[in-house]
Amino acid sequence: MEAYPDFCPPHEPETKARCMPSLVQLCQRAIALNVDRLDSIEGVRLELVKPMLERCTAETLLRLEQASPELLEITDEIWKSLCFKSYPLAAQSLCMKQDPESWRESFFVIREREAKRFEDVGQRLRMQREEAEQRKKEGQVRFTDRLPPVKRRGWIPAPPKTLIQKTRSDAAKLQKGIYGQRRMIPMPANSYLRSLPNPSPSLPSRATSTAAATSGSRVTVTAVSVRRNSSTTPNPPLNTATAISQTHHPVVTHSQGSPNTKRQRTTFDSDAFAIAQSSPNERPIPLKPPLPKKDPKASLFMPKHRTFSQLPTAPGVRSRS
Amino acid sequence: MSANQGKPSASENDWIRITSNDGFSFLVPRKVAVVSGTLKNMLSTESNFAEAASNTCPMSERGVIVEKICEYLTYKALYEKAPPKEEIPDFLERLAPEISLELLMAADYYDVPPPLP
Repeated sequence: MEAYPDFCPPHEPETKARCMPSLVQLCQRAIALNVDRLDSIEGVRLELVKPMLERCTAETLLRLEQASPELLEITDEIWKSLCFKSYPLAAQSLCMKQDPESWRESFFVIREREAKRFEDVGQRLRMQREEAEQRKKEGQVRFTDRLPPVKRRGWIPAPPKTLIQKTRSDAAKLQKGIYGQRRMIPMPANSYLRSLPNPSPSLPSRATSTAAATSGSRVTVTAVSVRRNSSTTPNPPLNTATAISQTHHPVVTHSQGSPNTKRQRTTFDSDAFAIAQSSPNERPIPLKPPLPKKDPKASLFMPKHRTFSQLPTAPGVRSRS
Repeated sequence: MSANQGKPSASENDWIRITSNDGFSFLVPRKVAVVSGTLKNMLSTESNFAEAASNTCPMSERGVIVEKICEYLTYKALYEKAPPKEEIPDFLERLAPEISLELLMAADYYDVPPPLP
């Protein structure tokens, strides 16, 4: 008659007029709204209860079932509808294969599966995000104590820029020879001693002193011989080599110094004697007129190349004094 | 209260006493009471129920429930025939959830049907 829907009865939609729900319906609705607060349903007719159960969550349904087992008759349908509501795709595929015995079981199985899948996806996303952040962090500016790693793109040493470096590299190459090994020239100590004329009885002492000096403080001998050679200059290139190699290999220098001294002795014995004698006594104070401090260094870095030579004319001439 | 005690036939102005199992009693007009199918049957003079004679319907429910039922019966009786323009208050908000379960059972028993068209 008067279709004036106040609010239509949700469960028994038979009335057209006024849509005033019956008390039963009202109660059902009231319970459905608060179904999670229900402890148990006892003594109520199952048909009455069903509409409310359809509205409740899985946990509630489980709880009510456990409280009042008589509900189990009607709950299977409800589980089915729950499955479809929560996991439509999975339930659909399950239904296609076969109708499961207990929808209740399948509901929980599906739920676990979905939860696991969700977790996996979340994990993957988390990892990706972390990696992206990591990469971003590496590009940022950071405080650090250490030096950044040296980039070695092929270990090409820089070409020698200064005179010093040039002579050094040349001396090294000279020593290396073809085979790339630094040869150790054996020290012809005896030979040089023998070649010496033996005028004075101080020869043994001299020899010993020299030997002692040679064997002992190598630095001393080397320094002396170099200085001697520079002032006399029989052989500047070798001298240079000696001087240079002295910095790297005292042994080699030492042995090389002997031929030099030998040569020197053939020419200027007296001087050698004087020096040799003085060496054990006092160290680097020469008997020659005191050279300025710069001089040994200058002789050390005597350039080998003619182009850069600081010699006044040709090599083999005394450098300067 | 005792006005309708002596009348042989049920009149429209009769009051029905509805009692609860914990001692409460409620008075409702007859036409309200007969909204409930069960009560109607109980009070029908055609049957020989004792209630018909005494106009008393004991309900085996708690007072709270009985009260709510009476309330609904009144509500329904009142607004069933109301003109469409009139606003009808919502009964749902008067339903306390705590009693709704019991009320459901009672309502079902007492057969409070929706109003007929």
